[in-house]
Amino acid sequence: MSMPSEPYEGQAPDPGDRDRREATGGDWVIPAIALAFTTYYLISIQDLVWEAKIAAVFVAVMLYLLIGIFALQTVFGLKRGMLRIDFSTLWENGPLFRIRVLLFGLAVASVAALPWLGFTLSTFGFLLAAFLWLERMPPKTAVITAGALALSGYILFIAILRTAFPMGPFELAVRAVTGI
Amino acid sequence: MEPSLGFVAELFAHALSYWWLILIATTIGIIIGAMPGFGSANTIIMLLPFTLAVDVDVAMIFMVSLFCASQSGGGITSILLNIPGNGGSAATCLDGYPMAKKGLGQQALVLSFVASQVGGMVTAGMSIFLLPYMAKLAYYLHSVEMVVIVLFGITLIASIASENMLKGLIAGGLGLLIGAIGADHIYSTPRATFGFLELYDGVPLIPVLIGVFAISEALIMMESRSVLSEEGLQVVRRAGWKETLEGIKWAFQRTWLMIWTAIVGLIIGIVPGAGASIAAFVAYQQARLYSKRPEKFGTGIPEGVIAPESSNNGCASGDLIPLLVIGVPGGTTAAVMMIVMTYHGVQLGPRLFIQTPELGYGVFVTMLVAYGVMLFTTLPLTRYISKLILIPTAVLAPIIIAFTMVGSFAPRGYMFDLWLTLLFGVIGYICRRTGYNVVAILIGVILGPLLEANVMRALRISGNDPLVFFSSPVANILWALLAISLFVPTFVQWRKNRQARSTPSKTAEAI
Repeated sequence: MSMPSEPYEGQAPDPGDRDRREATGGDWVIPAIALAFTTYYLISIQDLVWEAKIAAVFVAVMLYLLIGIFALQTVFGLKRGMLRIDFSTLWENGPLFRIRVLLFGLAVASVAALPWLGFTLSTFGFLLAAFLWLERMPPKTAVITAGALALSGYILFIAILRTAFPMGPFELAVRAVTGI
Repeated sequence: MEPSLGFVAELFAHALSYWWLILIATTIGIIIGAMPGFGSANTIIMLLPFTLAVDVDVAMIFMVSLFCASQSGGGITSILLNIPGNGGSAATCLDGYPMAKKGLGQQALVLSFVASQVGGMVTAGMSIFLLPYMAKLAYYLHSVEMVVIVLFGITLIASIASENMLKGLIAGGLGLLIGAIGADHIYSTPRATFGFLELYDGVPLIPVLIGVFAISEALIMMESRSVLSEEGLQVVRRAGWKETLEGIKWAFQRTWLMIWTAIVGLIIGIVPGAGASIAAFVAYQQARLYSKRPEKFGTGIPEGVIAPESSNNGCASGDLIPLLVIGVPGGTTAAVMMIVMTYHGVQLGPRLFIQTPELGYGVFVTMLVAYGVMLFTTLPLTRYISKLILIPTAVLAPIIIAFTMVGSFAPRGYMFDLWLTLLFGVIGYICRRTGYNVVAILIGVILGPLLEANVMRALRISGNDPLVFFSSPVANILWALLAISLFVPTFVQWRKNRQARSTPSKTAEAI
C-alpha cells in the first residue's frame, strides 16, 4: 500500500456526461450532524430557565433556517438537473480511502494503547507501523526514524515540558534509572 | 500620564540590557507558538517558578517577549502545514498554505515574520504614546455591542473562508452551538454534555483546533506524495538566500498594509475577549476589500499572509492595554501576566502609571525590543524551516498526528481530550472534503461562549428586555453592517449566476 507518486484524481473512472452535474450527498453529512446535534441540544436544555437557553435557542433557530435554505437549494438543484446524488466526494477513491482509514485506525489504536504503553512506546509503535505500511520504508530505517522521533518527543514533552502522560514501561524504566 | 521621549529612551536602554533574556524568551516563544496546544499562557504557567522568583521587571521582560514571539511563531505551521499554531494564525492558512504549495513557502514565512515584527513594533510604539486614549475604547463596547461583534465575526468568516457562504454559515453556526456545550454562565446547569463530566467546562478549544486542522489535514495530505506540486518541489529544492531577500522585498513593498492592519489588530485587541482570531480575520477581510485584486485572495498572495499576521501581532499590544490601564486582562496570557504582577505586589489600573510608570510603559518598550530582536533572529531561519514540506506526506502525516495529539492532552491531562481530537479530526475531514470551511467551525467554537456570556449579561442588565440589543448607536451601526455583509455577497452571487445563465442563451441566439 505504498503512496503513489501522482495524485489519485487521475485514477478516477471517466466521469462521462453525468459528471457535468455537481455532486451532492457528501455535503449533506455536516448539515445532518448539525441537525441532529441541534435537536439534541434543544432537548437537553428544555427544562432550564429561559436565560440559560436563549442564546443557544437563537443559534439553533438560525441553524434550522440555514439548513432549510440548503435543503431547498438542493431540491431545486436536483429538479433543474444541476445536481446529482453522489456520496463519493467523501472517499474520493478506493485505494486512497483505504490509506486514510489505515492511518486513522493506527491513530485510534495508539490512543487506545496509551494508558498501558505510555507516550514513548505508543508513539514509537504508531510511527513505525505508519512508516512501514504507508511509506514502505526499509525496516531498519523505519525503526531508527520512529525511535529517534519517539525519543525526541519523550525528551521535549515529558522530560522538559512535564506533560503528565500515563507512565508506560519506558518512562518507568527511565525513572528507575535516572530519577527523571 | 504621557511619557517623555527621554523616559522612553531610558526604558529602551534598560530593556536592551536584557537582550540575552529576550533572545531566550523569543526562541521559546517561537517554538511553542508553532506547536498547537502549547500556547504562551501554558508556557508562562509552566515557567511560573522562574517568573515568581526574579524581580518583577525581569519577569515582565521574559513574559512579554515570550508572548510576542508565540504570536509570530503561530504562522509557521499555518503556512507550511495548513495547521495554525493558535487561533490567531488560522487566517494565515488561507493564503500562506497555497503559497507553500506553489513552492513559495520560504517567501511566505519571511512575509509572516516581517509582518508580525513590523506590525508588532508599530503597535507597541503607538501604545506607548496613545495608551491613555486607547484604553477608553473598551468603555464604549458593552455586552450588547459584543453580541453583534461576535455574530458579525462569524458572518465575516463564513463569507471569507468559504466558497459557498451558506455552507460557511452552517459551519459557523455548528461551531457556535458546539461552543455552547457545558455549564451555562449564570446557573451552571450542564447542557448537551452527552453525560461526559469532561464537557461540563465546555468543549476544550485545543482538541477542536488540533482535530479540525491537524488530524484532518494529515488525512487529506495523503492524496499525493508531497504537499508541493511538482513545480513547487523543484522551486523549494533550489531555494536559497535569494528567496529570503525576495520575501523581505515583497513585505516592504506592502509597508502601508502592514501598518494599517496592525492598527486594526490593536483596536480589536483592546476589546477584552475579542482576541487575535477575530483581529486576523477582520484584517484579512479589510485587506481584501481594499485590494486591487480581491479575487486573488485565497490563492496564495503576499497580502493574504501580511494582513492576518500583522494584525494578530498588533492585537498582542492591544491585549495588554486593558490589563495595564483598567486591570482587566484582554486575553488568557494577559490574565496569567496579571497573576504574576499581582504576586509581585504591582497594582494594576490607573495607579500603575503614577506609582510605577517604568513598569507600565516598560511592557510596550520591551515589546518593541523583542520584535526588533526577532527580526534579526527569525529571518535567517526561514531558509531551513521551509524545507520541512519536502518530507513525503506518508512520513509527515503520521508525525503530525503523533505530535499534535500531545498538544490536545497537555492542557488538561485528560485521555478524553485525545478521543475528542480524533472525533473532530473526522468532522474536519468531512468538512474539507465537502466544502465546509473548518476555520468557520473553529471560530464558532471560540466565539460561542463569548456570545452566550454577553447575551446573558445584556439581558440581565436590561431586566430581560430583548430590545436591549438595538438600544445603542454603536450596536445599531454594527447590525446594519452585519445585514449588509450578509445580503451583498448573496446578491452579487445571484447576479453572477443570472448572467452566467443568460450568456450561453445569448451566444446561442447570436449563432
